[in-house]
Amino acid sequence: MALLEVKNVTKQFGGLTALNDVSFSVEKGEIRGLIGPNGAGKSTMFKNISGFYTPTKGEVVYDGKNIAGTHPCKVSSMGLVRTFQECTLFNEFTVFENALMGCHMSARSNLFSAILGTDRQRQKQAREKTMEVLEFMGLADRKDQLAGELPLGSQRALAMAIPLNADPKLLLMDEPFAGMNPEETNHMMELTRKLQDKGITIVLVEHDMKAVMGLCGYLTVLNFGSLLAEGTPEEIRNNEKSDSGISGGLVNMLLTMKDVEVSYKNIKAVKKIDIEVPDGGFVTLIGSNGAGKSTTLRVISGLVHPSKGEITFEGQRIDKLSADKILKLGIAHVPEGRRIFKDLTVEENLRLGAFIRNDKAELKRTLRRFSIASRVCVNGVLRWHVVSGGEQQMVSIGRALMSRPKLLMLDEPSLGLAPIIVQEIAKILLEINARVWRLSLWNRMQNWLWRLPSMPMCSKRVLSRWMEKPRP
Amino acid sequence: MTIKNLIICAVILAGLVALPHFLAFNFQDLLIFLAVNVLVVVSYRLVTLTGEWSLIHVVMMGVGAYTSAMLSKMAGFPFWVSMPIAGLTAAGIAALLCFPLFRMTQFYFLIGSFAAGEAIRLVWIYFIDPFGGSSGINNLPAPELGDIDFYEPIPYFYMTLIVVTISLFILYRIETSRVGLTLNAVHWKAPLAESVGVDTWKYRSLALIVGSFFVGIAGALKVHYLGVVTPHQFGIGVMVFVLIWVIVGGYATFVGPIIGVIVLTVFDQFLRASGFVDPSVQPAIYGAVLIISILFMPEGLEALPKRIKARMKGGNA
Amino acid sequence: MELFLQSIVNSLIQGGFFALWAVGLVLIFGVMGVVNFAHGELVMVGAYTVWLLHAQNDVPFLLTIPIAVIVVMVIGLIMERFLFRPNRSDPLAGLICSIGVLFILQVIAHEVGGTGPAKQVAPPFNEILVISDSLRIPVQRLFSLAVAITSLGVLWYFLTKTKLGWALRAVALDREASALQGININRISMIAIGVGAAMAGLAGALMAPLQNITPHMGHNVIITAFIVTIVGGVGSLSGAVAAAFIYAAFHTFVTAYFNGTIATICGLLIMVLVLIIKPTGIMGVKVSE
Repeated sequence: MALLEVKNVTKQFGGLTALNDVSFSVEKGEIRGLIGPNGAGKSTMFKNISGFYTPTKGEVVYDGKNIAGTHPCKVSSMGLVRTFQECTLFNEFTVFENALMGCHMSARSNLFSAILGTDRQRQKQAREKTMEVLEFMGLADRKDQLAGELPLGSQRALAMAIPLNADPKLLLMDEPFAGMNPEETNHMMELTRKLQDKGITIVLVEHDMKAVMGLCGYLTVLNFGSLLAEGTPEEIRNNEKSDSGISGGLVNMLLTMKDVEVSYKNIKAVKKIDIEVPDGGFVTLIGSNGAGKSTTLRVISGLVHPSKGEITFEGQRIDKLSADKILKLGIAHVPEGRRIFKDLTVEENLRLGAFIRNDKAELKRTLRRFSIASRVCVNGVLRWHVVSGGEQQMVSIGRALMSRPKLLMLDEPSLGLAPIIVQEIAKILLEINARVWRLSLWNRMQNWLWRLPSMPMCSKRVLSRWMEKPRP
Repeated sequence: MTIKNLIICAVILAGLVALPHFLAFNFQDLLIFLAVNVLVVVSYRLVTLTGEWSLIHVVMMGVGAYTSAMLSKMAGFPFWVSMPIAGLTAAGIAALLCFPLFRMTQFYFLIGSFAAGEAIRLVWIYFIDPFGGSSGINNLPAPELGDIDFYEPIPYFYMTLIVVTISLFILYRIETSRVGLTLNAVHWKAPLAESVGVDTWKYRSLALIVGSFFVGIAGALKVHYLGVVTPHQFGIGVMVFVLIWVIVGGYATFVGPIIGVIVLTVFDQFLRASGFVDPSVQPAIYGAVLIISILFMPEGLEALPKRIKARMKGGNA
Repeated sequence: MELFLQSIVNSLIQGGFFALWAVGLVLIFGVMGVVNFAHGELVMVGAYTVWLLHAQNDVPFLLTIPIAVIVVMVIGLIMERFLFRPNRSDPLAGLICSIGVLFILQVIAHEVGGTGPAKQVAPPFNEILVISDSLRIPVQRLFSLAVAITSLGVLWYFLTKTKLGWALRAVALDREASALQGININRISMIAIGVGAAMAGLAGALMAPLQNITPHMGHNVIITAFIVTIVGGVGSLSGAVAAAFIYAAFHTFVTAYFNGTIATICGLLIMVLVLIIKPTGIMGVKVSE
């Protein structure tokens, strides 16, 4: 009998369709993989199942009941528990308290029993159960440490211990292997199998294909919000075409990063980054989610400052400069999620991109050229839901180009866009790189860039380095 | 609670019992208000545990005060009955307010709670019958119990001390229990808490209701000693003092706000006694203290020893 | 009927003031994310400056207006530089600091003005425009309305037609993306609070001849400004201005036909209602995923 049935689920945000009529069902006791490129709607699907979103259309049937639109806390009390992408923990709590929160449903106490201490027996049981879970996850000896101070691997284990303590029947795991090294991945796979042995059904969103292929009996593939394929790992693998990157020649280095380290509070986000970007080159930064790609871009554009290391641009140290100074030197950054100023018109957005420029006549010409090239009308007020995702991306890239940068950094420009638009943007990028401004492009478009037709006019250099995550 | 903590509490209580006998009359007054204010800040801390800063707390104190005042003055209820009813009424009003207020969070909640509080206060000012308008209700009866004269500060202080101690004990129990842990969890990562079945709305409401109950009792204690209740005792200015006490003391632990209210009250008295500053300048000094503590010791007074220790060790404090 | 006409005129004048109060609050909140609780006190300082210079020291009224604006602007800039900027990552800390400023300004006003009855400034324009027997408009009020509307117009021009104005709106919408366009956030913050405080100072200066001046007059200002801001939609300037005139009309009419306290209670209730139904305000843009 199917434990979970997703029936014709559609989810729209304004004009953007994130999920389009998706149906699949999960049998009791299986490990199901939900895969697909970034922006395919996997996380949105999770949120629809776990009650954080209400589907625009369709039903989510769990254990025979339609739970679409039910409040998340009700859903989880029915035994459908999710984990979070990256490490979501109560950082201010100890490991033990974190795990203890997990058994909220079985051990919660009301005010009076809390004051009078009448539920001592139940609290004792909860603590014992929590210890068992911590031992199961191999965290028993760290139980009094603060969760925020744990090494990454243990944080991951703890992030699993919390939902585990909630006695789930169905566990939704959101990228549990992201940012892990092979050793940690193996350990986590082991744990996941043990969970299955305990009778817990698991739905898994993951990019780590090795883990997915190794764990899941059956895969559901999403692409651009629609169901692309379903089948066993072998069937899916045979469908997939692989591609590889090519390394190119060397030119002058426009940007160099030496041994750069960034920490948020006490947690290191990236560590030991050495990257060089050649003049006129096209560098792609890839790596799993949470590997530190966005942080790397943010540290270059001056939004965060490195705690260690050097960044040099055209021979000048820039790691201590503020964002506006760095832009003036010629580094433009198209942030993830486009970040359009949505109450401003397209023209105002573009003109803001040219904030540091003072040549009015030239600016006017550039604006006109842009509106023709991108086919985005320049005057209309830009509203998030009126302009399509592709057009927003065009505006965002155009805005960055208005400052006439020497280095353009794009953070996930393909996210959530249809393939045709992605191709179009790629074409524009190549054109920019080749002819118009002779600049270096750097982006973290993941898979699709690899599949582009060869890029004849620019020296190509694909940096396929996996950024290292700090390890204990 | 460990044996060591119990002994510390017992010593403090013994000290407090002896204290009023060594003080002048006006300081005995002050001791009563200090005890009431301790209850106000500690109950406020319970509300802030879920991470929402409300500006309605002092108005809830007023709800308790008005309830008790009206019951004892107009219906002739003895104080021992009207005080718990005061707490329950404040809790009840808070429960009603939870429905609109907790549909908002953070900034919106702050402003919403402020607006709701102001509206309640304006109702007291506007409706002269039964609330007495701007001048409020006066000649409130003192509690009665055998031959004890509760118009005298010392017996009233002991009574206040007992009520406050019991309340603090209950609040402490709540905070250290599973309920307290859940409130903190709602603060730090509400989605994660929801993912294991915590109804965050319920817990936010719970904190507001319980906090209002105790502050309602504090309100009753205060006005029955003063003998008068007016809307101006519960204005936004007073709320700001509560904020200052909590922030200067530090709101990360149970004792932080208590330290804040005691230290600032003593500081205040010291300033007055020294005669350097006019009492009318006092709010400005409070303002300056508030700004300085936000800028230079964001964790409050209670974290000061820890920071000094860290600096002595040569750590990068 | 006369009461009705008079109320319409009054509500227009009130609306001008409400709008001046609210745009400052909206600008500061939008750009810096800080709720400036001392905003009412900035208005109060503006009024006190006029009282001190014009009523006490005979400086011409028209000259005192720019002085008041500059004084309040300087206070705003000091607040930005020393209180809000160090707390940029923590809006709550900024808010609490502004409460500290509120106390300090009140005490300064108290010390400067001394105790005693509320201060009053004799209106420099004494003429009264008589339209009909019972519909009379003092020129002083008309002058205030004209100045308020002119300055709002200038602000509107600045925000929609100049590069700096776009930058200001951009920072309010997305601080990080603005930094990536080469906009200096600190400078924009200074401008935002400068403009916001200037509007508050201007409102204070214009109000000085029209009402009693006390150190606590800011309380009413901040409550009204909150109501207007929330109803108009947090972060929406045009919404705030529209809401200011609507709320002024509402308040004036309820005051004229019922009672001023009831009007404020209703206003607060409307605000809570708006917060519940549509927290982004009537004119606010819905933020989607």
